[in-house]
Amino acid sequence: MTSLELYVHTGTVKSPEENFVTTPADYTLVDLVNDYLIWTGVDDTVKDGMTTEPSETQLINASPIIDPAVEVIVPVCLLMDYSGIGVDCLKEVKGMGTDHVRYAFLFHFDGATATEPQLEAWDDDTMLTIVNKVLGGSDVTPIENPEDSMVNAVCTTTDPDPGEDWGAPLAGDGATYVVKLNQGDGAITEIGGKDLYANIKIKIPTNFANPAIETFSLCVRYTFIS
Amino acid sequence: MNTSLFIVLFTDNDIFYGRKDYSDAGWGEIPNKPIKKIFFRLPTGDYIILSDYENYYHYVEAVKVISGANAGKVQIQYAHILGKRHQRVVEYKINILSGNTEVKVYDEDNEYIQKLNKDGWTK
Repeated sequence: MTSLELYVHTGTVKSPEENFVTTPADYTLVDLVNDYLIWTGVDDTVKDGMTTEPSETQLINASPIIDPAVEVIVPVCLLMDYSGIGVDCLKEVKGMGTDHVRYAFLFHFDGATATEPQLEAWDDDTMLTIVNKVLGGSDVTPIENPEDSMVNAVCTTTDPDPGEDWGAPLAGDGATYVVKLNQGDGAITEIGGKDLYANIKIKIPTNFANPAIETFSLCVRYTFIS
Repeated sequence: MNTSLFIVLFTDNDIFYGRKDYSDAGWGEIPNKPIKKIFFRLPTGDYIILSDYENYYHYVEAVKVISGANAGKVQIQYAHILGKRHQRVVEYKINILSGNTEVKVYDEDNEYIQKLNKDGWTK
């Protein structure tokens, strides 16, 4: 059975230019059961190096501010690393959402796959609906608008530079609103597996009218010959 | 009661039994000799029978939650069994929770078929 691990770039460089092979120490393995990602604003308390798990109040105070005139790209993604409590449990994912940055999120597969792995976003882990506002959901028909999803991603596995204003909206598992993680080249054929890369950002539309705590699930769909 | 996920009947009447675990069913251990039929077990206990194809393919489709509630959860959602004959490929996509099965037919040069990992085809 092929399995998947998620690493995030938490090294000292702001715009990572080197990948896991060249600078493994700059990456942190995400313990998906205990750790979690926090998408937030720039804040003096909830930031890289925080030694305690942030409270709900602290998280609310750190929230990004919706702008009436321009779209806002959520500026910070933090890994809440339980193994670092008391030391440095909040680690910033360096390069998240940044133009021209290639190696922010690493998807490590330890074996071959049958088809190409893909990144998806859903309302929750039941993977049935995409009606949350962050995924383009609306209170009026049509309720689902995946093209308006604020969660955007780009595959950078072999693309040397995603450029500026990169990102395709993620919502559901249709052919359009997912991101193939092997650059469209199909299955991972390497028996020993492969490292795939992507960058992810959240774009809040101009004057977005529904401020709230928005939840969603990021998922990777992959296959294997069993 | 046999709980193998699949049973392979060869043209020489030998039989190979796969294991019952979707994540490790033993597809790669099928002996390399002509296959007459494959019986693939559905969650309902019924079988899909693929017979007289030139090559067969089986894989499972999993989803891992990497962010959000229940991160870390891995759910195997579908099993796929395919048969190829005369440049045509028939695919059965089986929802292993509901048992619902979707059938599709592709030309061999279809992009999806071409991008499958070729190591999964029986010889």
